[in-house]
Amino acid sequence: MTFDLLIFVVLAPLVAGIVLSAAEHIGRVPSLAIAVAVGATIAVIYVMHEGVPPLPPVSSKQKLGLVLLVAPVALLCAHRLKPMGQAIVFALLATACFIWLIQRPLMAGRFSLQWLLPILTIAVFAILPTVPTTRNTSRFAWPVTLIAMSIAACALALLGGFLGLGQVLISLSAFVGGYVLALFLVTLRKGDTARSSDLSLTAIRFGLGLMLVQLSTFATNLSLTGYLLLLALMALPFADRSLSRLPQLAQPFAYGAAGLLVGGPAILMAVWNL
Amino acid sequence: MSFISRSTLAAALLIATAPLAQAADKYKVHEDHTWLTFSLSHAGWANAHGIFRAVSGDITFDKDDVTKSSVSVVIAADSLDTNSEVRDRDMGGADFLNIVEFPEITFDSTRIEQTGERTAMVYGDLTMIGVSKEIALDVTWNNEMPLPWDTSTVKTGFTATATIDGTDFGMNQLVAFGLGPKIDVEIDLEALRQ
Repeated sequence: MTFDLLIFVVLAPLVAGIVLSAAEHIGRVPSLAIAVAVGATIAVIYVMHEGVPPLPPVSSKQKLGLVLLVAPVALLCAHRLKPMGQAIVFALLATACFIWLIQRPLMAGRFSLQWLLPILTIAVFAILPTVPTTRNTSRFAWPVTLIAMSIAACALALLGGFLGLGQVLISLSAFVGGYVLALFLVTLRKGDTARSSDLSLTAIRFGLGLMLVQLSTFATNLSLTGYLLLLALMALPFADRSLSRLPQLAQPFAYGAAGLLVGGPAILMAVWNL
Repeated sequence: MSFISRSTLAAALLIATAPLAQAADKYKVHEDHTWLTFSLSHAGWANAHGIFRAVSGDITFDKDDVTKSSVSVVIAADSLDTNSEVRDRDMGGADFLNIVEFPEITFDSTRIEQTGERTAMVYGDLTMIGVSKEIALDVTWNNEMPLPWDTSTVKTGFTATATIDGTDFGMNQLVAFGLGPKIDVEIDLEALRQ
């Protein structure tokens, strides 16, 4: 049972992340194809945990499954756009998703202050990636940031009363971990010649952002401070550009340590329920 | 029409309708005297128990022909109490009862089969987390009598049991956490005649 769980929740997504990253960095598969495959894999991970959503979907969990399946299509439509255009596409998709998710309480006239968090999440996920990083920003900056966010989000979900999404986020962390692991190994072998595609990272940001909208809307015991710290992790690629001046192979560890400085307290806040 | 013939007609109407009015009495569920409890296996260690503290509803009870009776009950999903606030919050989350989206659980009877002098199977639609499924309640009518201190108030009482499968209603995470998924439901319900 535990072994099955390990394969299903961790190993399979990890291998999927490694394969897609390797295909992108070694196999030279077009980045758009990889990005769409990344988005589709995230949707598959969700569906494997939460089941195939019925049509029409009844609950917000089922609705999110459908939105995640649509996200790669949105990415396909947005791939030619500049980062600002992609941000607008994400904001529109995530806002539509949020309104759909809260449709039932909204129609019943029940509102919650907690809904400010998903709105903040959409704003952070739409705006921050459009802020230009320096030319020499580490290729590991965004991938490691996304791993740190996935792990912290997973802890917040599990401790915040959203066990199912917590499991999905464990798998997402493993998937992004596999992607970064392959990127690290390629960099180890090829040095600076292998660039990472922004589109794949955008696909991961789309998926993670939508899951955070769900988490912040429906977690019954969400740590507010922990969640705000989690969102603060999105600033990691801009926080200290001196990290990018470190030897290239030290950069993922440096960003990981920096992520731990913010993500660790986020998890502690959730443990202490603050 | 003369006064006598009008009176005769009125009397005849009264006589004709009186048995109908008496046969099917209407009741309101007495919330303070209703216990809707449930239990389900907790990974085989023990049975976890819980209670819904807010149960309301209406019953039409035809004692002459019980198959013509009906029951409609509303349960406030956030009134769940499992003897742990943390667990109650988890159970109210999107993985289980999803109380933000589905604050009410409802049961509406669709048909009743009398099985004994005081027993019946009550079939109906249980709607939980946006999913409606037919379930069967094994019901025993216990007693009906006026309150000793207020004879104008008549109270009746039932005991009912049922078994449902949580995964039928989309609570697939029950299995992942070694809970149930079979849930045994026990209801002790008192209702006040209107």
